[in-house]
Amino acid sequence: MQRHGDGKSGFWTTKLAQLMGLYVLLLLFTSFSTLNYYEHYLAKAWAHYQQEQLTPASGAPECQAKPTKADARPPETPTFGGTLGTLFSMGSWDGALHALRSFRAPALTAPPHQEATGQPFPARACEAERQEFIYDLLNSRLHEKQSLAHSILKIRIVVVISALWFVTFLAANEFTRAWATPATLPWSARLAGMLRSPGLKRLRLPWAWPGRAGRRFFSAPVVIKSLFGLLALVPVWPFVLAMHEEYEPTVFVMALVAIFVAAEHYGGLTENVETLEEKTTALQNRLGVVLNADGLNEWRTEVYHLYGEARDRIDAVIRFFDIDPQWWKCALAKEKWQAYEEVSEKETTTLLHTLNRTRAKVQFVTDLPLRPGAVPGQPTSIEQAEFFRHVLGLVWHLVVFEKVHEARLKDLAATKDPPAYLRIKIAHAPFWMHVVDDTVYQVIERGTAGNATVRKLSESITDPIARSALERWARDNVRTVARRGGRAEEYVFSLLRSAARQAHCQDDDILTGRALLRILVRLGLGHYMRQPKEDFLLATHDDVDRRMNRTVLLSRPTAVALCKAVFEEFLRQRFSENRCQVGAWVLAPQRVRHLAGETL
Amino acid sequence: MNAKDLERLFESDIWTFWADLDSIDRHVSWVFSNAADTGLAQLCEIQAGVRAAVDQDGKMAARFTGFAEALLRLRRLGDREPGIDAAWEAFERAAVRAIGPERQDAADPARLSREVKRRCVEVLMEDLTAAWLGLYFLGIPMAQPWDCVRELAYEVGGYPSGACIYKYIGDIYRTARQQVVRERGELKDVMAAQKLASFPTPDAWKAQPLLVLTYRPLGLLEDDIARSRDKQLTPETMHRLARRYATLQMRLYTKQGFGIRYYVPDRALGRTIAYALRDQYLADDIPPGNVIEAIRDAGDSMALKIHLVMKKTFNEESGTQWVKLLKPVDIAGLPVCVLGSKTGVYSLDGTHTALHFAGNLIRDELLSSYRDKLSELNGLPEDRVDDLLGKSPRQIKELVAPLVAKALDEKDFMKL
Repeated sequence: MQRHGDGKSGFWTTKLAQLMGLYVLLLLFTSFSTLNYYEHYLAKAWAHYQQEQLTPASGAPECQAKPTKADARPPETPTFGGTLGTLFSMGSWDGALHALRSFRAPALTAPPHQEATGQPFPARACEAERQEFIYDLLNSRLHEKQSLAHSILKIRIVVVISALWFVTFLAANEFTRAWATPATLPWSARLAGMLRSPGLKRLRLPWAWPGRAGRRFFSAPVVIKSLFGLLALVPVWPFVLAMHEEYEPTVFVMALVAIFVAAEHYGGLTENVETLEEKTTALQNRLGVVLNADGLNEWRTEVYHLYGEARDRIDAVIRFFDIDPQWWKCALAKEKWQAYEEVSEKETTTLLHTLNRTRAKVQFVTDLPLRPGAVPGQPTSIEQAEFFRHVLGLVWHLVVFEKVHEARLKDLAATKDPPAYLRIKIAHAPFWMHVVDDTVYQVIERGTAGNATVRKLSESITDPIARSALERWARDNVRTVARRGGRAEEYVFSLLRSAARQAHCQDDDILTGRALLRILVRLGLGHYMRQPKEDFLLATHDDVDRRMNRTVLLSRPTAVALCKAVFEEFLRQRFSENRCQVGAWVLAPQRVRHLAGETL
Repeated sequence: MNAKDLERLFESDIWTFWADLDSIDRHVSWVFSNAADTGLAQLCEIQAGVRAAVDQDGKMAARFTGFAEALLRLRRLGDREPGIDAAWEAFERAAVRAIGPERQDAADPARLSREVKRRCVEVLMEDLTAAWLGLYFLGIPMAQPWDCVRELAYEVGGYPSGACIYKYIGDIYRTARQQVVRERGELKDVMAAQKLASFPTPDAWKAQPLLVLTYRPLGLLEDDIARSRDKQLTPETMHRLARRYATLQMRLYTKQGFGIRYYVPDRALGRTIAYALRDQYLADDIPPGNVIEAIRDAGDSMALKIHLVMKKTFNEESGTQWVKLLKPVDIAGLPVCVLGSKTGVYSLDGTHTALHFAGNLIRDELLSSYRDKLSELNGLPEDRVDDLLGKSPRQIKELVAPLVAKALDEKDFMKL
């Protein structure tokens, strides 16, 4: 059995079978309970009748109104005990059966006192009859005190009825859905063919009457829903009958109607939600769009999963470099990058872990400007903050890439594979593609609230040749753009160099601590700290551990320290003994002029 | 930055751009001429040196950034942008003004203006390259202007002769250097991780030596490579600066002893020297009748100069560098090319009259076939190849003087 909506389902799905089973079960249970209650009602009426017979003041022998009652066949001794124990005992099944039988003897069902109230008062009534009338009248107006068992019984019945009705409409929806699925039942096609046969048409059956407008009212969903609803009303009927004198009958019926309507509405709403989900799934399947409300997380999870699985190449245009939330959570560690590496060993959702798993070549392309702001001169604070965030994300990625590279080099001597290829290029990319092996994503939109709309281009193409052509085309595009572009390391060093000049750093200033901080402030660190951010929020105290989601609360000094740690690690990597482009600059303390190591 | 701002910039601020380039060029030239034979340290510090000399307050860098941004905007703003046509016209007027003094004698201004209009993409590419070069020598080589040039080259099918080609040649040396350094670092990392004393690098990792076939050998003649300015639409300053960039990158590569095979067709060398000297002497007001005689007499100084430039450029101890003179017949049909492991560049700009879009990059299959072709030259018999590296000035003179004499015998030599 499969779910509906995937185009290959049968008529009986697990859900439909469950709902139908539940529906039938509840139908039976409700019938049993209401009949049982009806029997209890009869027993009570019988008791009342007997009491009437025994009451001396009633003067029954003289009464003219009673003989008809006396002629009636008295009901059998009731089995209903009125106690909690008997309420749920199997013996009550007899009561239900008895109640069912009693429907066949309608004379008995009419309660005596109702008849009394229903009949006109005889003109020549004796005093006793007058008293009896008053007694009955009072009795009918005043309610007896409810026992606990009695109340529970009624509650139980109402609960069962409600459950039945709610399930009724859910089952009706599911049934309708199954009915609408083409060629699901072996006999449905035959049935449909039979209904459409010319012989049957000639009979001018009543369902042929409604015409086009009427057919809407007699459409399969309406008919199925009506049938289910009507069937669910049947077992309630004895209960309504038995309850008619308990309280104000109108109120009771209104309450029942309210439950019924609520159940119908609930069914309708559930139907809507399911339809919406179904349509969204269909749309996702058709267009290959990841359209979840928190699309970015979804997309990132999916993409990271694909990165981990990739065998050949990952080529992507990146417009915004995400920074793992786990990184911000390393805020309180002394060695932040070490802490992040330790976290990455356990957590599979980190970039480092993902890239460590993959054997594919990774090439990212990003399109970053020469300097912040659209207008030369004075960029706004927001522009500077955005620019800094872009650079920070880029540098963070470069650091992670280098870590992956180092890790891969360690086990290289055995494999003799070429070293890991992980690059980021700065180039003008007019499109926004993401190619992981043979899966092509097109990022349509990336919202500021962490949402993203991503289309899986290759999803809707079933032809393997067309699919691979598209994949090749997209990959070639990214690679062509990447080939044109400059190295990201060079770009970052250029920015640092330029910011160092603006921050009035001298060429011989040592490139750590305060000088680096001044450079970063020129790059827009201060503006970034002042803006609301998607990665972390500023708080007076660090609140790293308590937050489970992406938002991590950091104090400003901690956040600054984290940003600085990213750049420090980057510089450390670039100036390390085996990476520094100008070998002579390895041993000396790094100065501002040594930034030429990457820009030369 | 909208089209109006661009128009304003091209109308008024462009002069500072050329002046800035000129001052950078002068300083770089000074560094080259003063660098010691083993001047790797000076070359590594060249950006700091230029900055200290010409851009103490950082304003020049800001001007270059602004200019680069303006050129990028000019390219990227859509055709329907209001005022974009006026901005293009301002750009073209600025281009005509920039080359005016050099070309006015040769062509009438209206014709020049029409030519600039027709070839304005070429001018834009050259200007973008110039902006990149300016930024590079100030230590902030932003990728974007050059990325735009490459984008345009992809569209129009090649790079214009001049600054673009030399910049690209420089890039090949630069990429090769970075690759070799990275590979060596990786090798050390692997050895450290495995606690090995040595580790034979698999061939798949190894950067292959650069293969260079050149008709205008920067490695032998430095800035004496003059060219006819007839067809050029951009000021000579930027071409010179681009050549300096190529020279710098070449020296940064070769000085560290990385592998290179440098082939020069002998006839081209003779011609280049002869024509360069002719232009120089004519500029020095030597009467045309005496020029040929003067060139014949300059053999000694020329040989000495080649010797010095080669000493400044190559690393003789490395054992992985060759500089060889070839007979033209052995490389018939091959253009000027610089071939790295992953990418290469060719240029048809081997003669004195430059073609438009005469160069382009070489990739993949073509690259490997070019590499094969140049590698075959290793097997040439010794009588057809002359090794220049390690030769004394006297030996160089013996080799070069007949080549120059042959160029002087050409019928049209004195025809300008």
